Amino acid sequence: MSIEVQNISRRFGNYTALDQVNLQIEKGEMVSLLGPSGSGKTTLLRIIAGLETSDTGRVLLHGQDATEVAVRKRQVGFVFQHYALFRHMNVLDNVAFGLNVRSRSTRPSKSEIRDRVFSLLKLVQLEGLENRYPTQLSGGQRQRVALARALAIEPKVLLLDEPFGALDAKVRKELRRWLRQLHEELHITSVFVTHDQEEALEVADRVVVMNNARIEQIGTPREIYDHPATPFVNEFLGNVNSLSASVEQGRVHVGGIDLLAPLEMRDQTNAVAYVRPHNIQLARSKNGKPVLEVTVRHIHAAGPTARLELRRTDNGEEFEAEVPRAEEQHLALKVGETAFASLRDARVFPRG
Amino acid sequence: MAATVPLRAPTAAPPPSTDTLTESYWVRGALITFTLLFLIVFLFLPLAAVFIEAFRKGSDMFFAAFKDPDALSAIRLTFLAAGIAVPLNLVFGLAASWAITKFSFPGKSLLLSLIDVPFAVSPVISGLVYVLLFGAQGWFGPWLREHDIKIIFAVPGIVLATIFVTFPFVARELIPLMQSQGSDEEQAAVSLGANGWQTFWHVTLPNVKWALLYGVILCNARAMGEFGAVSVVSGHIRGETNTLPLHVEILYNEYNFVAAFACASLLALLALVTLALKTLVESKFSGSEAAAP
Repeated sequence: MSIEVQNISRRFGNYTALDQVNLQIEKGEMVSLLGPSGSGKTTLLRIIAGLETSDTGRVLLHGQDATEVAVRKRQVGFVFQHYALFRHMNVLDNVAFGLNVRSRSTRPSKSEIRDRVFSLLKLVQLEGLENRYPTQLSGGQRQRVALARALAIEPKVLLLDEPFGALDAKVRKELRRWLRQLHEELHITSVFVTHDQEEALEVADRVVVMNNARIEQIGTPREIYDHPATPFVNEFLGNVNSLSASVEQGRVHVGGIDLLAPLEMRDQTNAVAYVRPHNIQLARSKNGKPVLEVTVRHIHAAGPTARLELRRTDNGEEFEAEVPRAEEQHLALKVGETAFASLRDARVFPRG
Repeated sequence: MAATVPLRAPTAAPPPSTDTLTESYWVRGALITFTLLFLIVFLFLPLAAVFIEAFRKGSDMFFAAFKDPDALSAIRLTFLAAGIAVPLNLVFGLAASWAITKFSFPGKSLLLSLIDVPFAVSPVISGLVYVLLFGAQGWFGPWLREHDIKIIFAVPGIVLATIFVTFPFVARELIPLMQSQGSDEEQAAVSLGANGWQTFWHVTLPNVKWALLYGVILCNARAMGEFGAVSVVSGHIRGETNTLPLHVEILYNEYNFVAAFACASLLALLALVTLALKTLVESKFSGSEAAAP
């Protein structure tokens, strides 16, 4: 186990940033902490790094209790959202900093440091820029310098706080693919914080979804996407419709559709069914199946799939369906017409 | 004391086009003339007068003014007071700004306001406070007399008063800059294994060096030119507790105009040098800030 977080809680005045959080991260894993702002993800990352203290709980790095170990002794590489490069130092000195501040007995020789810096600059594809100052670099380049600087101290774990948060969309996409490749080369245990679900699902081996100072779900991107465990994870990950439903005698009713209610919901009366737009099938007639009657409100047919805005006839709730273009043309629905929807993979939760 | 907020010339913005500012020729002319006249009457004339009066009886008399042992002693004392106050306030200013901008602790905003106290109160009051504390009738007066320590009407009092009136200058320059820079770089340094001293020396100090120098220059100018507070605690003992500004006053009151103005010209020269240094540092300072991300 590379990183172990045990019962970590942290309050700032009346505000609870972390509430009894437990997390285990395997060696060589790339884990993302995903959540909206204020969910506690950055605080957790900073506590792992030692830049923040926790009120209760322990942090173990490589099996050793690091709770009381000072940041500078933890040997963690930390990458900041706004790079935090030393503005008066050039790229070379920035990357070499962690080696230059070592005590004489553990410091590599000048030429060794230089070699190390140049090989790191090669790794982050910034060869030839060693004499530039941070202001002379683009955002993406700065973040790669920051990464090289963090890697220079040969960290046991790499922690990244919204590493691409300050970059524009195109650079972001490039950089996160590149980060994933880099991880495959180096296999340093890495944790990165993001509020961008696409980023988390694309880059991480495992995703930790956080909300309101707690962990909602931990799983591989596929698990998280296909089997969201809580209403929050459902709503936070990807496009999803929430349809209100009622529970009666062990069945959940969404309009004309009824589903078997999960055991723990048998004594509820109200529920929510989450359905992704591409899991909604539309038909012009009922065909004797249990369906949800809807009115077509709008059709967006530009793009690989057609998006239809629908309104339930029973309670006026609006939602969205995504169907392949060919199917949309075959159905030939028009705005204002009535259609019948059936749901695949609907996930039912008690109404909170 | 708004003067401590560095006024930066808006060099980055291009001058507004005259097409959009269609003030008539007369208005512009009048404004420029008024500004010039004002500066001439209130700045250039007095400054020129100082030098003219100082040299009125020739350069021999001018230099003779500095050969007077009392004058020499005043100059020495001025440099001594500044020499103690400025380094001390440099350290204090750095420590206070570091504490205020890099940590959060209860009473932080109170500390921030307290730093401004010497700007807010009249220098005479600052001097009087020390008389009340350390004077013969003051709180610590009897104790000091018992131990034969003289503070008021002696050099220590002058140094204390000088330190008091000049301590905000460095902190005042550093705090806004350090606040805007945040502590990300320090955190990065620590996470890379730097200890506190290395972080300060390699990261914090280089980031604030121009602002620091600027603060030191202002602090030094005030330390050498301070009159009010020093006057109260000095006792005006010639050759012992007179600083240069006090010496000027004494000479003037004795109708020794040439010597008075000669010493005054020294202070004026100091002001001009300060101004030149300040402009130089300011351009460096704003340059390094503009280069910051």
